[in-house]
Amino acid sequence: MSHLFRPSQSRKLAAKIKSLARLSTHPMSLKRKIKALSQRVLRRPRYATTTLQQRSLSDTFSAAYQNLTVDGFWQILDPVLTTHRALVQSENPPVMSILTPTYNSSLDWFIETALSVLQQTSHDWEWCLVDDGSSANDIRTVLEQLAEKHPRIRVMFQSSGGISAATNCAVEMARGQYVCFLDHDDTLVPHAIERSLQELEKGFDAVYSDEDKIDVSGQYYVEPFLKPDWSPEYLRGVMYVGHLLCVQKQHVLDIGGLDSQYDGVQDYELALRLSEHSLHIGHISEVLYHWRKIPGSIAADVHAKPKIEQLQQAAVNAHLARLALPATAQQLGNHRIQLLPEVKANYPLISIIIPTKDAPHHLERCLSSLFSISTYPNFEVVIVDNETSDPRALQLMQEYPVKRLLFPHPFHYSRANNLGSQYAQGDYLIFLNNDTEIVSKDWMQNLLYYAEQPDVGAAGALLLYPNHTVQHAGVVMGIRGTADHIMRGFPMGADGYAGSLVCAREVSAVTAACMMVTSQDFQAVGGFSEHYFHHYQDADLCLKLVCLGKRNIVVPGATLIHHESATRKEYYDLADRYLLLDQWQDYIESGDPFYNSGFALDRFDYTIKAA
Amino acid sequence: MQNILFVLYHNFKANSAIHVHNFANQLTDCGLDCVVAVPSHKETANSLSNKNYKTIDFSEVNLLKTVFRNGQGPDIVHAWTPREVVRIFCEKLRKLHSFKLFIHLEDNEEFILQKNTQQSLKELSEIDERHFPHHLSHPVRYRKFLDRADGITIIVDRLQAFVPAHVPYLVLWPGVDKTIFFPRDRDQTLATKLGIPLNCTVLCYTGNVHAANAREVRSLYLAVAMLNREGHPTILIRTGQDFHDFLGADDKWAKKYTIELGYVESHAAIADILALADILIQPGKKDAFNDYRLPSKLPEFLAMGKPVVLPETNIGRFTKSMEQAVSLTNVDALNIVETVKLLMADPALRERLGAGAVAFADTYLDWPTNGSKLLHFYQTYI
Repeated sequence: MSHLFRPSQSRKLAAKIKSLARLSTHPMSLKRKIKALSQRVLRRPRYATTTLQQRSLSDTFSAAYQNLTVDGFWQILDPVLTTHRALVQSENPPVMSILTPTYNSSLDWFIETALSVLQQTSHDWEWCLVDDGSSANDIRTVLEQLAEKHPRIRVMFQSSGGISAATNCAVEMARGQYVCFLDHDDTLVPHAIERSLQELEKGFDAVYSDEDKIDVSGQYYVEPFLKPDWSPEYLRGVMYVGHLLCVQKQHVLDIGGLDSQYDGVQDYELALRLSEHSLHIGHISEVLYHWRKIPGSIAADVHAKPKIEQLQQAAVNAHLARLALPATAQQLGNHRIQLLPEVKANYPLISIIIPTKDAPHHLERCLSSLFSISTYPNFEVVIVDNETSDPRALQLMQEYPVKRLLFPHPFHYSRANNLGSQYAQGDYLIFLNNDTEIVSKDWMQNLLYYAEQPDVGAAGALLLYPNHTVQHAGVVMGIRGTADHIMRGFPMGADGYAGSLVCAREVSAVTAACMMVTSQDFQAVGGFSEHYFHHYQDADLCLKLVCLGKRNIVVPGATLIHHESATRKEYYDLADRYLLLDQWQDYIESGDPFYNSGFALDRFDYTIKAA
Repeated sequence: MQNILFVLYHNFKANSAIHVHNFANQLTDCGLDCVVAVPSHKETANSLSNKNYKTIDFSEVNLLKTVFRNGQGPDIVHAWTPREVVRIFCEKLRKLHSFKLFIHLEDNEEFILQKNTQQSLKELSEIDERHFPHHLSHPVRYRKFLDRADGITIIVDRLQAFVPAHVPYLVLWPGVDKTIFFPRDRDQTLATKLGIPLNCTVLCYTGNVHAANAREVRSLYLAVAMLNREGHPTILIRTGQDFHDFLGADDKWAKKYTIELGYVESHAAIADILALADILIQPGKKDAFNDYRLPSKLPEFLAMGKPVVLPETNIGRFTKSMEQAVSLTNVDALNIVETVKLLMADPALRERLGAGAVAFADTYLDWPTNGSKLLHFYQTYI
């Protein structure tokens, strides 16, 4: 049976078995326990492992770049400089200015940085380096000489002012229309500039790419971070934009450059401020940047710089204040931020629409948790009753303060919910399955915080199975050819992929098992399409909202249990499937913008596609 | 100018053959001597009625002078598409005869090429000549072939984008054989034989399914399934072959509402089948495929006196919506469902649209008229 387990599972299993053996007194009892343990491990979801299993050889590493002296540095770089100078028409102004602040940079790493710049396939760049008061002579000497050796490399020295000050100096120095940010020990993929310029020429004000890390040996690229397309909500929770960020230089100047009070998260804070200006921001689904893991750096250890989280929190709070968004940023640890909605003076009426038929056990659990746990002060419940005959269920509709509508037809999810919306008094609608159970007391406040924003369409909850693993954390279009829930089976409390499970983020669609939408938007898209009989009406609604320019958000702060296995039918309506494809195949084929095209679509756990 | 040689890319079972058949007949009626060459199986022409031109296989190219009455070679070669099989044959002809070359475009050849091969034009241009599929147009060679033409006919105006600037062109719509395709009542005997329930709305689709049109034909099947589950009994009668999977491995969800007749050779039989329909629907929308073609079934649909639903592209750009046809931005499943419901609730509208469709066909899809246009084009540029 050992062949069924991954190596990490085998090791953990072996440790647990040893522990069981020590405690067990009877061999048969031990055998049964081992079998049960093995079966539990096998049932655990395989969620993404993107560490050492995903690695490739570095383009720029060489064993010769160890303990480099200045002379050794030039022995390596001079021939490359000579070749490159011949290729550059220095009279043409550069289009892209690569900005690099330096401070006591190690020549062992800086040599690779320099090589990666000089080996760019595009020659439309200049490199602006600003030394921030290095005390190490080697780097100072190299920088002085670098500026003399190449017309496209410009160097300035300043007394120590911090990374933001140095970068701002580089921005001022830049002559290119665009600027991008390269750290002094990181490297660029050879076509990084070319690819970025290609994308910028489509009309974007800024673009960012995927990235990975250079491992501590320097020999391998590891931990690829495949990012979603522009996701401002996700950005508020996770410092995801990272590298390689390229921006129109004027935009950086217009917003005042980088802010020194956020040194350490200065590029993240810049991204937040850029996002406040309705810029057209694009994403390149390719790794264009290698971020070096150095002992003591965040790249190597997220806990390396404890103050970073405080700075991150402060940056997000300042950002929220500037946008007048009524929430407060709270640290979750691991560089994740949760937004807590502020207490309001007045809460708008929310109408919770629950289609139901019989099922007293579900209904009681749902209504009981709804009324006993929820702290939202102003809501109504509209029960759409599909001819309930069970006495207990009927009694529940009397016991709880609900409005009851009769739906005397064969059950039709869309039609039932549309009927409920017609009798809902609230400006905000929540569609709720009767087999859900409230967990978060302020779930409605959390959903409302997003639904109130004019550019948000649907706000969906995080739904858990009764065993507290994930049932819904957003819908990805294209999985298994149509659409499916992402991170299904992940344990509650896990980070997900780069914070995707703990931070609110944009998604293409959310499930209507618990979904909030404004009444106005719901009517604008014509409600749930009644052409869908069993599946996908929620995905269809959400994509219609996307076509209206809205964002759909999954909100981990609104957590419910969904007893899906109890009510889920095995029947799969193929007509619904093909209707979804008929309407949205172009969207599906162009790739879900919030699920990087580098992920496999036959899984729902951020597994990277095989090469 | 006396001898006209049409060169087809397939035998007479292809839709294009009907067009060539009729143009050849018209030109023969005008006193010209017409021959139609096909890659093989020239005997498939026997399925076409009233043929007054001659046929050869490509292998008989050396016999061409013996086929024309005056013992000469062709004065005009009209290559029907620039596909490799046609182009290569025309190059062989060049070595044997001197003639004016006309080429007919009836599709966005580059789109067809990429759709069929799932490769880019650049990749396709690098394929060894020996391995390039002959039923498609080579991305580089077809352009050079067009450059050498003395005239180009295009089935729809948008194809002008592919005509070299120095080559004269003519928009050449096909016609429809009104002795076969004309308004008539449903043949109830045939309906019973096919098992059409009395209470069903009947839709018909006569055509093959291939990679380029699979999605849109799926829309039609889906619409039929949706109409049924929404309480509107509907049957789809389908002729033609499927060269591409489009309903999924488990197709019962759709096929239970269709009567599949497969390939039907006889055009008269096709007309009888179309006469069973309440509404005739061409699914699809404006896109790189539809903008550059004229579905060969559309002239037949329009001539049958039924309401026709079609997308606002190719011939749909010229029909007056709600008078001669129902032209929609996107004839997808949802729009088909809503339009069928609308039309079935309004018999007067159906009748008006049917009459309008026939009037359109009479005016614009007349073989003698369009044949004369072609003759005039030849005379102008020969």
